[in-house]
Amino acid sequence: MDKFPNVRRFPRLAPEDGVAELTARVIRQIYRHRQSRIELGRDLIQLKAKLKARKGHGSWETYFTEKFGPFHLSLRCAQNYMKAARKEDSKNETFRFSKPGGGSHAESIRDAEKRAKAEEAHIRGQQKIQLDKDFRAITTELLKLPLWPRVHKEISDLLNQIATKHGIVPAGKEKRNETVAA
Amino acid sequence: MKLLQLKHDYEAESVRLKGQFADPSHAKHNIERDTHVTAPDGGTIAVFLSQRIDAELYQLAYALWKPVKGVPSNRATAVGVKSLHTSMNRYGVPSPRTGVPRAALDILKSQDVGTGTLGYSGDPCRKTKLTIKNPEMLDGNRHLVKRVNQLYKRYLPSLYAQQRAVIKKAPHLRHTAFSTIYVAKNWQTAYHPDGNLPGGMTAILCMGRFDGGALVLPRWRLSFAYRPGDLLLFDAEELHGNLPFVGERMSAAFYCARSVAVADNISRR
Repeated sequence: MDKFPNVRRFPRLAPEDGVAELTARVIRQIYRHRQSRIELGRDLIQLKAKLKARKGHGSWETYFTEKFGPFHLSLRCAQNYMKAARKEDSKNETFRFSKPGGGSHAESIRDAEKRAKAEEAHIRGQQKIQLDKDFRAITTELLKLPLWPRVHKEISDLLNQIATKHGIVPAGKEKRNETVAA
Repeated sequence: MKLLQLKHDYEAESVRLKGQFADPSHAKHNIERDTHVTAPDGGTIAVFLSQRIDAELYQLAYALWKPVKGVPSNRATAVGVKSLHTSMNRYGVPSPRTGVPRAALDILKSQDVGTGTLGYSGDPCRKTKLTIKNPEMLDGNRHLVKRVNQLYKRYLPSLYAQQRAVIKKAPHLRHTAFSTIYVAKNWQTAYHPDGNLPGGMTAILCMGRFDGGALVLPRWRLSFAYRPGDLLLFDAEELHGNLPFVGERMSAAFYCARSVAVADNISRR
């Protein structure tokens, strides 16, 4: 009953006595303990800075002994946690991925993207009527006028004139804008 | 097997690389032999298995999957471009459909890039067109699928059991923890995440004759120089991308699609 006749065989796995599972759990606990020490260090740094801002220099040690002494947390221990937090934060801050990957494929894909973006922008720019900020404000004001239906007709007439001038619509066959002017 | 316990997580920095191409400098550890990589919290990041797949199996797969010719038109991040509007009408109004720009797709076609999805995929989940049209692509590789599944079960038994429990209720590749196989031919992907079953593992292997093409996981600064016959198990929901390669290369990713795992979302065909 060999389904894979040409496949290499492997040594049997160690019996499932739970050692691997427990080792993984211990590693997880160590990691969590380490993380919580770093978190504690970060909070202590913040607290120290706030106390300094409120009461000035020299108040930290007294405050610490008074508040945290009963919890059997020594000052030296807290200093170590703060040091670990600073080290961790500086480590995360310094690393940056230096550059995106190169190679001919990457270059050609980047070029293609640039071309496609430029093309889209070009088509959009060509086809749209661009209104700058002032003209947009004027349009908004015109829309608010009680005489807007008349203004709307005037704009339609003006567009007809331009179209006739450029030979798009023959003279005497001007279009009527049926859109309701609201 | 070597155990590599990582100490640093570069998640915040690596997020910025999404859609960018991989560079050798992004990786600190280059893995070429059997290694179990774990995160600082003890969770598994990847398992690299060297020369575990028989040559006959992957050579047959290479021959059967070579005809795939789909283009990844809806995978802009993996292509390495921004998703743009696919077309525009004569008034300059863009189509609501977006995807990989045509210029980029032309480049991929010129490089003989081809992709295909086998098994079950989509939303609602159903058998893919490629599977219906070319059943031999899946049936002919039955032994390879079983072998990959066997290795996953052997080296990551608890994750395998979880994935299997979820997939059992949905359409999947028979007796395996996978629903789908994604085949990519001659494609150097940019950093992208895949939409697979959260917490599940993806098994990836490669075929062909090529140099380079290592898989880089920037979050952990890892690169896996996997060759034909090797198998890599990793969480494809994290950013990953390939280094440049020369030659003919094909990769196949075996995974459980996210949509497949949603029991209400099943449409059998």
